[in-house]
Amino acid sequence: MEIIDAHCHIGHGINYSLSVDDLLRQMDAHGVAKAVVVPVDRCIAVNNIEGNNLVLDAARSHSDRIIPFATANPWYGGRAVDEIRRCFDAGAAGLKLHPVLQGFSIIDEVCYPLVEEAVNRAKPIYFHTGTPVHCTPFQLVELAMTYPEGHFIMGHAAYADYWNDVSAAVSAVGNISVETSLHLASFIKSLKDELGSDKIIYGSDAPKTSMRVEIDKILRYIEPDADREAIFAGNIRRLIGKGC
Amino acid sequence: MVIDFHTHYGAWGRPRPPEDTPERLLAFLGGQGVDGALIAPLMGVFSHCTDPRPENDEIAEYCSHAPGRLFASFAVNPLFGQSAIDEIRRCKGEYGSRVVKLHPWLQGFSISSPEMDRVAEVCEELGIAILFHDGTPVYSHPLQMARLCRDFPGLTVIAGHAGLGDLGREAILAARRYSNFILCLCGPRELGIAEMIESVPPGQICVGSDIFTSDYNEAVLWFRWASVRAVEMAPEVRHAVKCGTAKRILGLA
Repeated sequence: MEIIDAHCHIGHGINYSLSVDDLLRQMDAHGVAKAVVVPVDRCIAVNNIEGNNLVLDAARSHSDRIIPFATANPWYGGRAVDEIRRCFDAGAAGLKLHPVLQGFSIIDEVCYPLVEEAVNRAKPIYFHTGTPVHCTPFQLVELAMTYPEGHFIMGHAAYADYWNDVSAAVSAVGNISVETSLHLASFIKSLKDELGSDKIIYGSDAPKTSMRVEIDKILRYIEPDADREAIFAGNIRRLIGKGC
Repeated sequence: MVIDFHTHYGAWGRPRPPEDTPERLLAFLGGQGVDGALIAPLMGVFSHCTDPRPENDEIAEYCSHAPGRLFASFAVNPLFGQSAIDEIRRCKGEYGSRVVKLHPWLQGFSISSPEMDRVAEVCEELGIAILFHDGTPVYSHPLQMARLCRDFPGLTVIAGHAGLGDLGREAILAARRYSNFILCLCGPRELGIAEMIESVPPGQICVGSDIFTSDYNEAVLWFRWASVRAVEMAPEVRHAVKCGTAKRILGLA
Protein backbone atom coordinates (compact mmCIF):
# COMPACT_ATOMS: atom_id res chain seq x y z
CA MET A 1 0.00 0.00 0.00
CA GLU A 2 1.44 3.36 -1.01
CA ILE A 3 1.97 5.88 1.77
CA ILE A 4 2.19 9.59 1.09
CA ASP A 5 3.01 11.62 4.18
CA ALA A 6 1.12 14.88 3.81
CA HIS A 7 3.04 16.87 6.39
CA CYS A 8 6.78 16.88 7.15
CA HIS A 9 9.25 19.65 7.90
CA ILE A 10 12.81 20.02 6.64
CA GLY A 11 15.50 22.51 7.53
CA HIS A 12 17.40 23.76 10.54
CA GLY A 13 14.93 25.27 12.97
CA ILE A 14 14.85 26.75 16.45
CA ASN A 15 12.71 24.04 18.00
CA TYR A 16 13.35 21.15 15.61
CA SER A 17 15.48 20.25 12.61
CA LEU A 18 15.48 17.57 9.95
CA SER A 19 17.70 17.28 6.89
CA VAL A 20 16.40 16.08 3.54
CA ASP A 21 18.63 13.03 3.76
CA ASP A 22 17.38 12.14 7.23
CA LEU A 23 13.79 12.55 6.08
CA LEU A 24 14.43 10.23 3.12
CA ARG A 25 16.07 7.70 5.46
CA GLN A 26 13.02 7.77 7.72
CA MET A 27 10.71 7.43 4.74
CA ASP A 28 12.68 4.42 3.50
CA ALA A 29 12.68 2.83 6.96
CA HIS A 30 8.92 3.12 7.28
CA GLY A 31 7.81 2.47 3.72
CA VAL A 32 6.77 6.01 2.86
CA ALA A 33 6.82 6.61 -0.88
CA LYS A 34 6.43 10.39 -0.93
CA ALA A 35 6.20 13.27 1.49
CA VAL A 36 4.70 16.73 1.40
CA VAL A 37 7.44 18.93 2.80
CA VAL A 38 7.24 22.39 4.35
CA PRO A 39 9.88 24.60 6.02
CA VAL A 40 10.72 24.57 9.74
CA ASP A 41 9.53 26.98 12.42
CA ARG A 42 11.76 30.04 11.93
CA CYS A 43 11.39 29.76 8.17
CA ILE A 44 7.63 29.62 8.51
CA ALA A 45 7.70 32.70 10.74
CA VAL A 46 10.19 35.03 9.09
CA ASN A 47 12.83 33.46 6.84
CA ASN A 48 10.27 32.37 4.27
CA ILE A 49 12.50 32.55 1.19
CA GLU A 50 15.25 30.50 2.81
CA GLY A 51 12.77 27.81 3.85
CA ASN A 52 10.96 27.73 0.54
CA ASN A 53 14.20 27.46 -1.40
CA LEU A 54 15.27 24.47 0.68
CA VAL A 55 11.95 22.76 0.09
CA LEU A 56 11.98 23.51 -3.65
CA ASP A 57 15.58 22.35 -3.99
CA ALA A 58 14.74 19.11 -2.19
CA ALA A 59 11.86 18.53 -4.58
CA ARG A 60 14.08 19.19 -7.59
CA SER A 61 16.69 16.74 -6.30
CA HIS A 62 14.14 14.08 -5.32
CA SER A 63 11.23 14.73 -7.61
CA ASP A 64 9.91 11.20 -7.14
CA ARG A 65 9.83 11.52 -3.33
CA ILE A 66 9.37 15.13 -2.22
CA ILE A 67 6.29 17.29 -2.82
CA PRO A 68 6.95 20.93 -1.86
CA PHE A 69 4.46 23.20 -0.10
CA ALA A 70 5.48 26.84 0.26
CA THR A 71 4.78 29.37 2.96
CA ALA A 72 4.92 33.12 3.45
CA ASN A 73 4.06 35.31 6.39
CA PRO A 74 0.91 37.22 5.41
CA TRP A 75 2.14 40.32 7.22
CA TYR A 76 4.75 40.77 4.49
CA GLY A 77 1.84 41.81 2.28
CA GLY A 78 2.70 42.13 -1.41
CA ARG A 79 6.12 40.59 -0.88
CA ALA A 80 4.43 37.50 0.57
CA VAL A 81 2.18 37.19 -2.46
CA ASP A 82 5.17 37.59 -4.77
CA GLU A 83 7.00 34.87 -2.88
CA ILE A 84 4.13 32.45 -3.11
CA ARG A 85 3.76 33.16 -6.83
CA ARG A 86 7.46 32.47 -7.28
CA CYS A 87 7.13 29.19 -5.42
CA PHE A 88 4.05 28.06 -7.33
CA ASP A 89 5.85 28.86 -10.58
CA ALA A 90 8.78 26.79 -9.34
CA GLY A 91 6.59 23.79 -8.61
CA ALA A 92 5.16 24.21 -5.12
CA ALA A 93 2.07 22.02 -4.88
CA GLY A 94 0.34 23.84 -2.07
CA LEU A 95 0.37 26.63 0.49
CA LYS A 96 1.11 26.19 4.19
CA LEU A 97 0.01 28.82 6.70
CA HIS A 98 0.65 28.80 10.43
CA PRO A 99 -1.39 31.37 12.36
CA VAL A 100 0.62 30.93 15.58
CA LEU A 101 4.09 31.27 14.09
CA GLN A 102 2.98 33.91 11.61
CA GLY A 103 0.91 35.95 14.04
CA PHE A 104 -2.56 36.14 12.57
CA SER A 105 -5.96 34.56 12.98
CA ILE A 106 -7.47 32.38 10.29
CA ILE A 107 -10.29 34.91 10.01
CA ASP A 108 -7.98 37.92 9.65
CA GLU A 109 -8.20 39.42 6.20
CA VAL A 110 -4.44 39.83 6.20
CA CYS A 111 -4.19 36.24 4.94
CA TYR A 112 -6.75 36.65 2.16
CA PRO A 113 -4.30 37.66 -0.62
CA LEU A 114 -2.26 34.49 -0.06
CA VAL A 115 -5.36 32.35 0.12
CA GLU A 116 -6.66 33.91 -3.10
CA GLU A 117 -3.39 33.23 -4.86
CA ALA A 118 -3.59 29.56 -3.89
CA VAL A 119 -7.27 29.31 -4.77
CA ASN A 120 -6.68 30.90 -8.18
CA ARG A 121 -3.93 28.37 -8.87
CA ALA A 122 -6.05 25.44 -7.59
CA LYS A 123 -3.53 24.67 -4.84
CA PRO A 124 -4.61 23.18 -1.50
CA ILE A 125 -4.07 25.32 1.58
CA TYR A 126 -2.79 23.63 4.73
CA PHE A 127 -3.49 25.45 7.99
CA HIS A 128 -1.93 24.57 11.32
CA THR A 129 -4.98 24.26 13.57
CA GLY A 130 -5.85 23.49 17.15
CA THR A 131 -3.97 26.19 19.03
CA PRO A 132 -6.22 28.70 20.77
CA VAL A 133 -7.20 31.35 19.89
CA HIS A 134 -5.96 31.90 16.37
CA CYS A 135 -6.59 28.65 14.54
CA THR A 136 -9.75 26.86 15.52
CA PRO A 137 -11.86 24.52 13.39
CA PHE A 138 -14.75 26.92 13.01
CA GLN A 139 -12.45 29.77 12.04
CA LEU A 140 -11.31 27.54 9.21
CA VAL A 141 -14.94 26.90 8.31
CA GLU A 142 -15.47 30.66 8.01
CA LEU A 143 -12.55 30.92 5.62
CA ALA A 144 -13.71 27.88 3.67
CA MET A 145 -17.14 29.49 3.30
CA THR A 146 -15.54 32.72 2.12
CA TYR A 147 -13.56 30.77 -0.50
CA PRO A 148 -15.83 27.86 -1.47
CA GLU A 149 -13.75 27.17 -4.57
CA GLY A 150 -10.63 26.63 -2.45
CA HIS A 151 -9.62 23.46 -0.64
CA PHE A 152 -8.36 23.60 2.92
CA ILE A 153 -6.54 21.07 5.08
CA MET A 154 -7.16 21.20 8.83
CA GLY A 155 -3.67 20.43 10.10
CA HIS A 156 -3.24 18.10 13.09
CA ALA A 157 -7.00 17.59 13.25
CA ALA A 158 -7.03 20.60 15.59
CA TYR A 159 -5.10 18.76 18.29
CA ALA A 160 -5.76 18.86 21.25
CA ASP A 161 -8.99 20.04 22.86
CA TYR A 162 -10.79 21.28 19.77
CA TRP A 163 -11.52 17.64 19.00
CA ASN A 164 -15.11 18.37 19.97
CA ASP A 165 -15.47 20.68 16.98
CA VAL A 166 -13.68 18.85 14.19
CA SER A 167 -16.42 16.61 12.86
CA ALA A 168 -19.09 19.32 12.98
CA ALA A 169 -16.77 21.82 11.33
CA VAL A 170 -15.74 19.56 8.48
CA SER A 171 -19.34 18.52 7.93
CA ALA A 172 -20.42 22.16 7.68
CA VAL A 173 -18.63 22.69 4.37
CA GLY A 174 -17.45 20.54 1.50
CA ASN A 175 -13.96 21.90 1.07
CA ILE A 176 -12.06 20.94 4.22
CA SER A 177 -10.01 17.78 4.74
CA VAL A 178 -8.46 16.76 8.06
CA GLU A 179 -4.79 15.84 8.48
CA THR A 180 -4.03 13.22 11.13
CA SER A 181 -0.68 14.09 12.72
CA LEU A 182 -0.31 14.55 16.48
CA HIS A 183 -3.82 13.42 17.32
CA LEU A 184 -4.88 10.30 19.21
CA ALA A 185 -5.36 7.07 17.29
CA SER A 186 -8.77 6.72 18.92
CA PHE A 187 -9.84 10.13 17.66
CA ILE A 188 -8.78 9.44 14.09
CA LYS A 189 -10.77 6.22 14.22
CA SER A 190 -13.83 8.11 15.48
CA LEU A 191 -13.37 10.74 12.83
CA LYS A 192 -13.27 8.12 10.08
CA ASP A 193 -16.47 6.61 11.43
CA GLU A 194 -18.18 10.00 11.46
CA LEU A 195 -16.84 11.62 8.30
CA GLY A 196 -15.83 8.69 6.13
CA SER A 197 -12.32 8.12 4.87
CA ASP A 198 -12.51 10.59 1.98
CA LYS A 199 -12.08 13.59 4.28
CA ILE A 200 -9.00 12.31 6.10
CA ILE A 201 -5.37 12.72 5.04
CA TYR A 202 -2.42 11.00 6.66
CA GLY A 203 0.47 13.14 7.90
CA SER A 204 3.21 12.64 10.47
CA ASP A 205 4.49 16.15 11.27
CA ALA A 206 8.00 14.68 11.29
CA PRO A 207 10.33 15.36 13.02
CA LYS A 208 7.98 16.27 15.86
CA THR A 209 6.61 12.76 16.07
CA SER A 210 7.73 9.22 15.45
CA MET A 211 6.83 8.40 11.86
CA ARG A 212 6.42 4.78 12.97
CA VAL A 213 3.82 5.63 15.61
CA GLU A 214 1.93 7.86 13.19
CA ILE A 215 1.77 5.15 10.52
CA ASP A 216 0.88 2.44 13.01
CA LYS A 217 -2.07 4.41 14.34
CA ILE A 218 -3.62 4.19 10.87
CA LEU A 219 -2.58 0.60 10.20
CA ARG A 220 -3.86 -0.62 13.56
CA TYR A 221 -7.14 1.22 13.78
CA ILE A 222 -8.39 2.05 10.29
CA GLU A 223 -10.00 -0.61 8.14
CA PRO A 224 -10.77 -1.85 5.54
CA ASP A 225 -7.84 -1.49 3.17
CA ALA A 226 -9.81 0.84 0.89
CA ASP A 227 -10.12 3.36 3.72
CA ARG A 228 -6.44 3.04 4.58
CA GLU A 229 -5.52 3.59 0.95
CA ALA A 230 -7.66 6.72 0.79
CA ILE A 231 -6.17 8.12 3.99
CA PHE A 232 -2.58 7.13 3.25
CA ALA A 233 -2.45 8.28 -0.35
CA GLY A 234 -5.63 8.64 -2.39
CA ASN A 235 -7.00 11.79 -0.81
CA ILE A 236 -3.83 13.88 -0.88
CA ARG A 237 -3.06 12.61 -4.39
CA ARG A 238 -6.47 13.79 -5.54
CA LEU A 239 -6.00 17.21 -3.95
CA ILE A 240 -2.60 17.81 -5.40
CA GLY A 241 -3.46 16.38 -8.79
CA LYS A 242 -0.67 16.40 -11.28
CA GLY A 243 1.76 17.71 -8.71
CA CYS A 244 1.70 14.38 -6.97
CA MET B 1 6.24 -2.35 37.98
CA VAL B 2 4.94 -0.08 35.24
CA ILE B 3 2.17 2.25 36.42
CA ASP B 4 -0.28 4.16 34.24
CA PHE B 5 -0.84 7.26 36.35
CA HIS B 6 -3.80 8.70 34.47
CA THR B 7 -6.76 6.43 33.86
CA HIS B 8 -10.44 6.87 34.54
CA TYR B 9 -13.17 4.76 35.99
CA GLY B 10 -16.15 3.60 34.02
CA ALA B 11 -16.88 4.21 30.38
CA TRP B 12 -17.24 7.27 28.19
CA GLY B 13 -20.76 8.61 28.53
CA ARG B 14 -22.20 5.68 30.44
CA PRO B 15 -21.75 3.72 33.69
CA ARG B 16 -19.03 1.14 34.06
CA PRO B 17 -20.16 -2.08 32.37
CA PRO B 18 -20.35 -4.99 34.82
CA GLU B 19 -17.93 -7.08 32.78
CA ASP B 20 -15.20 -4.50 33.40
CA THR B 21 -13.72 -6.24 36.41
CA PRO B 22 -10.38 -5.40 38.03
CA GLU B 23 -8.98 -8.65 36.64
CA ARG B 24 -10.06 -7.73 33.13
CA LEU B 25 -8.63 -4.23 33.47
CA LEU B 26 -5.28 -5.61 34.61
CA ALA B 27 -5.22 -8.01 31.66
CA PHE B 28 -6.05 -5.12 29.33
CA LEU B 29 -3.26 -2.97 30.78
CA GLY B 30 -0.89 -5.92 30.61
CA GLY B 31 -1.38 -6.01 26.85
CA GLN B 32 0.73 -2.85 26.69
CA GLY B 33 3.17 -3.90 29.39
CA VAL B 34 1.45 -1.93 32.13
CA ASP B 35 1.21 -3.56 35.56
CA GLY B 36 -0.91 -1.13 37.52
CA ALA B 37 -2.89 2.08 37.33
CA LEU B 38 -4.15 5.07 39.22
CA ILE B 39 -7.88 5.22 38.61
CA ALA B 40 -9.58 8.60 38.72
CA PRO B 41 -13.30 9.30 38.57
CA LEU B 42 -14.94 10.16 35.28
CA MET B 43 -18.48 11.21 36.15
CA GLY B 44 -17.15 13.14 39.13
CA VAL B 45 -15.13 15.52 37.00
CA PHE B 46 -18.13 16.90 35.15
CA SER B 47 -19.85 20.03 36.40
CA HIS B 48 -23.26 18.38 36.56
CA CYS B 49 -22.05 15.87 39.14
CA THR B 50 -23.70 17.11 42.33
CA ASP B 51 -22.44 14.33 44.57
CA PRO B 52 -19.07 12.69 43.78
CA ARG B 53 -19.22 10.39 46.81
CA PRO B 54 -20.91 7.33 45.24
CA GLU B 55 -18.36 7.15 42.44
CA ASN B 56 -15.50 7.77 44.86
CA ASP B 57 -16.76 4.84 46.95
CA GLU B 58 -17.17 2.63 43.89
CA ILE B 59 -13.62 3.26 42.76
CA ALA B 60 -12.20 2.51 46.20
CA GLU B 61 -14.16 -0.75 46.32
CA TYR B 62 -13.12 -1.66 42.77
CA CYS B 63 -9.44 -1.08 43.49
CA SER B 64 -9.61 -3.03 46.77
CA HIS B 65 -9.81 -6.20 44.65
CA ALA B 66 -6.35 -5.55 43.25
CA PRO B 67 -4.25 -4.16 46.10
CA GLY B 68 -0.84 -2.96 45.03
CA ARG B 69 -1.92 -2.89 41.40
CA LEU B 70 -4.93 -0.58 41.18
CA PHE B 71 -4.92 2.66 43.13
CA ALA B 72 -8.04 4.68 43.78
CA SER B 73 -8.19 8.38 43.23
CA PHE B 74 -11.26 10.47 43.98
CA ALA B 75 -12.91 13.70 42.85
CA VAL B 76 -14.37 16.77 44.46
CA ASN B 77 -15.48 20.08 42.99
CA PRO B 78 -13.82 22.99 44.82
CA LEU B 79 -16.89 25.12 44.14
CA PHE B 80 -18.83 22.93 46.59
CA GLY B 81 -16.89 24.55 49.44
CA GLN B 82 -17.10 22.79 52.78
CA SER B 83 -18.60 19.61 51.35
CA ALA B 84 -15.57 19.29 49.08
CA ILE B 85 -13.28 19.69 52.07
CA ASP B 86 -15.31 17.11 54.00
CA GLU B 87 -15.07 14.66 51.12
CA ILE B 88 -11.30 15.04 50.92
CA ARG B 89 -11.02 14.26 54.64
CA ARG B 90 -13.42 11.32 54.28
CA CYS B 91 -11.50 9.74 51.38
CA LYS B 92 -8.24 10.12 53.27
CA GLY B 93 -9.73 8.71 56.46
CA GLU B 94 -11.73 5.83 54.99
CA TYR B 95 -9.55 4.83 52.06
CA GLY B 96 -6.14 6.34 52.70
CA SER B 97 -6.43 8.13 49.35
CA ARG B 98 -3.32 9.88 48.12
CA VAL B 99 -4.51 11.57 44.92
CA VAL B 100 -7.51 13.76 44.14
CA LYS B 101 -8.50 14.44 40.56
CA LEU B 102 -9.61 17.95 39.56
CA HIS B 103 -10.69 19.12 36.12
CA PRO B 104 -10.91 22.94 36.05
CA TRP B 105 -12.35 23.01 32.54
CA LEU B 106 -15.12 20.45 32.96
CA GLN B 107 -15.85 21.39 36.57
CA GLY B 108 -15.91 25.07 35.75
CA PHE B 109 -13.69 26.49 38.45
CA SER B 110 -10.63 28.71 38.39
CA ILE B 111 -7.32 27.47 39.78
CA SER B 112 -6.72 31.00 40.98
CA SER B 113 -9.85 31.07 43.14
CA PRO B 114 -10.21 31.05 46.94
CA GLU B 115 -12.17 27.80 46.66
CA MET B 116 -9.18 26.16 45.01
CA ASP B 117 -6.88 27.47 47.73
CA ARG B 118 -9.02 25.85 50.43
CA VAL B 119 -8.76 22.50 48.64
CA ALA B 120 -5.01 22.94 48.16
CA GLU B 121 -4.57 23.79 51.82
CA VAL B 122 -6.30 20.66 53.08
CA CYS B 123 -4.55 18.48 50.50
CA GLU B 124 -1.21 19.82 51.65
CA GLU B 125 -2.20 19.11 55.27
CA LEU B 126 -3.26 15.51 54.48
CA GLY B 127 -0.49 14.66 52.02
CA ILE B 128 -2.83 14.30 49.09
CA ALA B 129 -1.50 15.09 45.62
CA ILE B 130 -3.70 16.93 43.13
CA LEU B 131 -3.94 15.42 39.65
CA PHE B 132 -5.14 18.21 37.38
CA HIS B 133 -6.43 18.10 33.87
CA ASP B 134 -4.18 20.62 32.20
CA GLY B 135 -3.37 22.06 28.82
CA THR B 136 -6.76 23.52 27.92
CA PRO B 137 -6.95 27.32 27.99
CA VAL B 138 -8.24 29.31 29.76
CA TYR B 139 -8.89 27.28 32.86
CA SER B 140 -6.04 24.81 33.05
CA HIS B 141 -2.64 26.25 32.31
CA PRO B 142 0.37 24.57 33.94
CA LEU B 143 1.60 27.93 35.23
CA GLN B 144 -1.75 28.54 36.92
CA MET B 145 -1.17 25.25 38.74
CA ALA B 146 2.44 26.08 39.50
CA ARG B 147 1.27 29.00 41.60
CA LEU B 148 -0.14 26.44 44.02
CA CYS B 149 3.33 24.92 44.37
CA ARG B 150 4.61 28.28 45.50
CA ASP B 151 1.79 29.00 47.93
CA PHE B 152 1.54 25.43 49.26
CA PRO B 153 5.10 24.12 49.14
CA GLY B 154 4.16 20.83 50.80
CA LEU B 155 1.60 20.06 48.11
CA THR B 156 2.29 17.81 45.12
CA VAL B 157 0.71 19.10 41.92
CA ILE B 158 0.49 16.81 38.90
CA ALA B 159 -0.13 18.22 35.44
CA GLY B 160 -2.14 15.29 34.15
CA HIS B 161 -1.39 16.03 30.49
CA ALA B 162 2.03 17.73 30.85
CA GLY B 163 0.70 20.70 28.92
CA LEU B 164 -1.26 18.60 26.41
CA GLY B 165 -0.81 19.82 22.82
CA ASP B 166 0.03 23.47 23.27
CA LEU B 167 1.37 24.17 26.75
CA GLY B 168 4.26 21.74 27.10
CA ARG B 169 6.77 24.56 27.45
CA GLU B 170 4.72 26.01 30.31
CA ALA B 171 4.71 22.61 31.95
CA ILE B 172 8.49 22.35 31.65
CA LEU B 173 9.00 25.80 33.17
CA ALA B 174 6.68 24.95 36.04
CA ALA B 175 8.49 21.69 36.75
CA ARG B 176 11.90 23.33 36.60
CA ARG B 177 10.84 26.02 39.06
CA TYR B 178 9.04 23.76 41.53
CA SER B 179 10.23 20.30 42.54
CA ASN B 180 6.70 19.48 43.72
CA PHE B 181 5.31 19.95 40.20
CA ILE B 182 4.97 16.64 38.35
CA LEU B 183 4.50 16.07 34.62
CA CYS B 184 2.29 13.17 33.56
CA LEU B 185 3.19 12.35 29.96
CA CYS B 186 -0.24 12.17 28.38
CA GLY B 187 -0.46 14.66 25.56
CA PRO B 188 2.90 15.90 24.28
CA ARG B 189 4.19 13.98 21.29
CA GLU B 190 7.63 12.48 20.91
CA LEU B 191 9.61 15.70 20.39
CA GLY B 192 7.90 17.27 23.37
CA ILE B 193 8.42 14.19 25.51
CA ALA B 194 12.12 14.17 24.61
CA GLU B 195 12.40 17.83 25.63
CA MET B 196 10.74 17.09 28.95
CA ILE B 197 13.03 14.13 29.60
CA GLU B 198 16.01 16.35 28.88
CA SER B 199 14.83 19.35 30.89
CA VAL B 200 13.09 17.96 33.96
CA PRO B 201 14.39 15.58 36.64
CA PRO B 202 12.98 12.08 36.02
CA GLY B 203 11.57 12.03 39.55
CA GLN B 204 9.11 14.67 38.39
CA ILE B 205 7.83 12.71 35.39
CA CYS B 206 5.34 9.88 35.11
CA VAL B 207 3.18 8.43 32.32
CA GLY B 208 -0.58 8.24 31.83
CA SER B 209 -2.93 7.14 29.07
CA ASP B 210 -6.26 8.77 30.01
CA ILE B 211 -8.09 5.57 29.10
CA PHE B 212 -11.85 5.26 29.45
CA THR B 213 -12.38 8.73 28.04
CA SER B 214 -12.98 7.21 24.61
CA ASP B 215 -15.00 4.50 22.91
CA TYR B 216 -11.70 3.11 21.62
CA ASN B 217 -9.67 2.52 24.74
CA GLU B 218 -7.30 -0.02 23.27
CA ALA B 219 -6.27 2.61 20.74
CA VAL B 220 -5.78 5.20 23.48
CA LEU B 221 -3.68 2.88 25.64
CA TRP B 222 -1.51 1.71 22.76
CA PHE B 223 -0.98 5.22 21.40
CA ARG B 224 0.09 6.85 24.65
CA TRP B 225 2.53 4.13 25.59
CA ALA B 226 3.83 3.78 22.03
CA SER B 227 4.69 7.47 22.10
CA VAL B 228 6.72 7.06 25.28
CA ARG B 229 8.41 3.90 24.00
CA ALA B 230 9.45 5.77 20.84
CA VAL B 231 11.54 8.25 22.85
CA GLU B 232 15.09 7.32 23.73
CA MET B 233 15.97 7.57 27.41
CA ALA B 234 18.50 6.08 29.79
CA PRO B 235 17.34 2.95 31.64
CA GLU B 236 17.26 4.69 35.02
CA VAL B 237 15.25 7.56 33.55
CA ARG B 238 12.81 5.17 31.90
CA HIS B 239 12.40 3.35 35.21
CA ALA B 240 11.64 6.57 37.07
CA VAL B 241 9.19 7.73 34.44
CA LYS B 242 7.32 4.44 34.11
CA CYS B 243 7.37 3.51 37.77
CA GLY B 244 9.45 5.40 40.32
CA THR B 245 7.68 8.75 40.32
CA ALA B 246 4.25 7.15 40.53
CA LYS B 247 5.30 4.84 43.36
CA ARG B 248 6.68 7.75 45.35
CA ILE B 249 3.46 9.74 45.01
CA LEU B 250 1.46 6.66 45.99
CA GLY B 251 3.66 6.10 49.03
CA LEU B 252 5.01 2.79 47.75
CA ALA B 253 8.63 3.78 47.37
